[in-house]
Amino acid sequence: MTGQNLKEMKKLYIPLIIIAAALLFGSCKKWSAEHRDIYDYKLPAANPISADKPLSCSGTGSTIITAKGTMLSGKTYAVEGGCDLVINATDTLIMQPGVTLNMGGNSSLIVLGTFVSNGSKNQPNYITTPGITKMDAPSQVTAAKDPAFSAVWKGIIGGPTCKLMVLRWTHLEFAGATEGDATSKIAGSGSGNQYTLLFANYKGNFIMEDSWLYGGNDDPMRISAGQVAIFRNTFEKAGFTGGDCVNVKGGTVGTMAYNMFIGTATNGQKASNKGQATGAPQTNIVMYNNTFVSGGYRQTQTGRGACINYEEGARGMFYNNLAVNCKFGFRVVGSPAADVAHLSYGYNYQYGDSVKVTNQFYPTGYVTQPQTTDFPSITYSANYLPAGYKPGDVYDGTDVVRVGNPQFLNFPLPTSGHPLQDYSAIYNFNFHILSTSPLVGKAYTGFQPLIVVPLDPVYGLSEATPPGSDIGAYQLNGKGNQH
Amino acid sequence: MFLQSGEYISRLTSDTLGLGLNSTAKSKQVTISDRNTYTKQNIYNATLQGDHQLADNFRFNWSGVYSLAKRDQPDRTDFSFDQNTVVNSSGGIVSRDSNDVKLTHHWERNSDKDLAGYGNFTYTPRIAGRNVEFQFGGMYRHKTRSAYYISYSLGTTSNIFYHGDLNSLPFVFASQNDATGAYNAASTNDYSATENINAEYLQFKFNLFDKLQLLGGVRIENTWQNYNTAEPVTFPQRNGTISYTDVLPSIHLKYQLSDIQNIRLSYFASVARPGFGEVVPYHIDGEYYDEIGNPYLRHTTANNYDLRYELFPGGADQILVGAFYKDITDPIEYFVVRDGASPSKQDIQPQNAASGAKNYGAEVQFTKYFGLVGVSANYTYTHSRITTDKLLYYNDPIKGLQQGLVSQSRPLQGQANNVGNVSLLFKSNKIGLDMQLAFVYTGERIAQVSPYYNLDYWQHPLSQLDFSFEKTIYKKISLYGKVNNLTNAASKIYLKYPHGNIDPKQQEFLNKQDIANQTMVQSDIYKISFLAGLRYKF
Repeated sequence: MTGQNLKEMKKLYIPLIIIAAALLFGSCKKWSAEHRDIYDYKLPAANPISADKPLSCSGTGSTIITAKGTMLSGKTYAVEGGCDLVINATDTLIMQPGVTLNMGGNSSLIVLGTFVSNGSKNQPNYITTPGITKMDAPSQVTAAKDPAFSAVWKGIIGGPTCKLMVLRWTHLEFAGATEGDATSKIAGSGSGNQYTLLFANYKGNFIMEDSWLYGGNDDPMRISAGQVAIFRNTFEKAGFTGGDCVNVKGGTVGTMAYNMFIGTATNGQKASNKGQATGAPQTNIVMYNNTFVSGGYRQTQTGRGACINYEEGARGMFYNNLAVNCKFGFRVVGSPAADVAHLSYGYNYQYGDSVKVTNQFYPTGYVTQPQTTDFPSITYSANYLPAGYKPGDVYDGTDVVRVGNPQFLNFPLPTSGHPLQDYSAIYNFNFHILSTSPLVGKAYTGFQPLIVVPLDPVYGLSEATPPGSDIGAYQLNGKGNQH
Repeated sequence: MFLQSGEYISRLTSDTLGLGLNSTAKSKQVTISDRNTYTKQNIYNATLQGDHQLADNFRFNWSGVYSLAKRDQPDRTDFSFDQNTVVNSSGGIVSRDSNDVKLTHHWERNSDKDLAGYGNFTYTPRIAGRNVEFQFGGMYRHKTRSAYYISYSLGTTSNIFYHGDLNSLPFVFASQNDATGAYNAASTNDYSATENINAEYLQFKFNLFDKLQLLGGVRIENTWQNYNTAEPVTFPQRNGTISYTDVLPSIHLKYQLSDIQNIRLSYFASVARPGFGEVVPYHIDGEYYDEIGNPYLRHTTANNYDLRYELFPGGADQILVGAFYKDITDPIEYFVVRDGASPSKQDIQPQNAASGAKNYGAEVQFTKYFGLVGVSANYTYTHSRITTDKLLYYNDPIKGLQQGLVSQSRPLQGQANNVGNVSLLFKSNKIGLDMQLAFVYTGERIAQVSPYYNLDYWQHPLSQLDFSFEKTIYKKISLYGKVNNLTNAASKIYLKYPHGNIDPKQQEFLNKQDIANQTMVQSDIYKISFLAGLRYKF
């Protein structure tokens, strides 16, 4: 062995020795791990609700089942068809993680007090109808025959006395049947309502985080008034032939962030101050880092929105949102006008596969003011938003068709083989972004969410994720939408 | 008496106006709204009455009335359809779309039964050298109604265009669930209701002095109303019973200034009760607003004071001058109210105004004949005031847009400040001809109370000219006719809000505005109507 070889051997061995030592040290640490088995006492759930038989109103002479207490982890509960499960104004119903609540035909869940569905990432909760097979592949079924819109049960109705409603890691599916006279009278709502979820107390708190909403009929979520925090949720096939997915009206304040919308009938998120009650605040909503894909195509009425919409006296801000192949772009309505003096926006990203889509990036007839921070750049070409363009004008979007592919992990862009509106559910797609995505690092983080609900791991918002640096709902650093 | 009527209506409406409503940038160009109805009505009525002289100064008269009214309106069908166009800056049509394609079927029928009996005793003794008339008696009335109603709507799932053939439109239920029959729009419209009223009174009339007549008395009215709807037990207001008793005194003084002149002074208490049509919590689809009932509606009571001077110079001539004051408790008005949790839906509901209302005013009435030709005129001025809370939407420098309540005083709904009419009369028994030319003026009044401050709907002053005549042709046969609205006066409704201040985008729909600081929202033109007939008197 020459000296040179020895030297090289040394060069090779030294790192090996270090690695071996490290492994040994690591193993030692492993060997030295300690085990503890100390008795712990968990207080039993108060008023546990039995899952042995369905919650039933038969034979009582009314449709009412009153409930309070705890639905236990791992259990499956059923509400009999035609019954209204009511949480009285002074009562609380809590669903532990891993609860399934099967709703019978035309049943409803009326919350006049407090309702917490406390699902978790590993043990999500379901409020659903059993036995329905989803048909989510693009073009698998027409909307008229899609079981997503079967509207089997009526929905969750937060009445005017509902203090707190929390949906955490919870699936809401197949609701939206017409409330009818009797149910709406109990809930203090409207008999023609077909909402999967209604919240109607401007003094109450509505929190929805890390949850899923699937299908529906009219607006899947109607917030007539309330203090809201809607974070990191996924909405698929929301609304049948109309309806804005998260539709908030006069007297609603809060934040909507990191939500994923695909195939909504009309808008994903809409803010309006219409119907503001005496004493209720002006609608003020902050929307950021939301993703909208193929929105707005099932609305049979024309001229409606498809992703974000501010109208009729609503104020707030929207930044860092992503819209892909939506029928209309981010919409600020001039008549009846949004509170444009108190509405700020920018850093919003749009992608369109067809000129029909790109022609409506700034929807014709509205007052959305193109921002210099928007993508594609508002000075992309001489034709796209030409000199002299005024908000609402017709322009030629040809030059920006297929510009700026957001590079999702698994979603065909440009789309091919199916009409844009047929991409209406997550299916086996994945809307997380590649590290090479043009969305990365382009977002604006110099503002704060508007948090008016309590922060609490159970009885409030567990995490108010601040604005993220990547545009859209999914962040490269693992923050944002967790689905 | 038996009367049957069958009425078929086919109404075709094409509305070329429209608003860019519901936050869309579209200009609505055509709204088609068609309706077919068939209504069958049967009315039976029977009256029996008697008058008995029981003694020299003791009389009894009575009457009994039975009536039955049935109304059946099977399958009223409404079709509506909007066509929108998108226009470019030069007004050319870029594209068109259809909206709100809807076919609604209503089925309703109701039957009203009314039984009433009246009895009055009159006793005219001579007390202290004067004729005194005592009257006492009572009435009983029993009314029942049963009403049935069902309605359902069909829509389409895509943008369909209507080209005149209804059968080609693929109508479906709006939701798969609606088709199961599990949902009825409003079971409160299926109801039975009963109203029983009995009243007893005692009244006296005598001359306190030769020239001063005193008429006074008291009347007690008991009202009992009950309704039952088809709603389930969980439905508040599903049934209800309402009863109340009113004690109503009255006193009338008449002082005879001379043979042809009187002065009258009177006070009386009165009631106006809502019918069960207003009390039952029904919900009926209207053309602009839906109408809903109000089980908490109270009946209206009023104290009325009147002073009047009368002059009868001879023949049919007369002059009356009077003043009045009415203090009204729980006046009933039709308010526009929010419905349930929906921000856009508003209904019309009868309600009581908590503050009550006060009306006072003066009236003049005058009739004078010059041979066969006469002039008759009357005029009433009424100052009416009621105060209710109105909503005001305003911009607070700190809190932003807010909605608050503000008190606002205004006249009672429907109460005009000035009402007058002048008639030219011609009457000749010799040639058997009677003619009348009448001019009626009704001053500005509130047609509909708005929930919002300063936004009531005001009906513009209306002047109408009508002509009528009756001519005997041969003995018991006469020809009669009426020509109404000779000047084709339009009934116009305004908001007292300058139309120039309305959102610029909606200005194009406000054409034909004629008052600068108001906004005309409705103008009904009825044209001239004619009626002629032959009458035979048995």
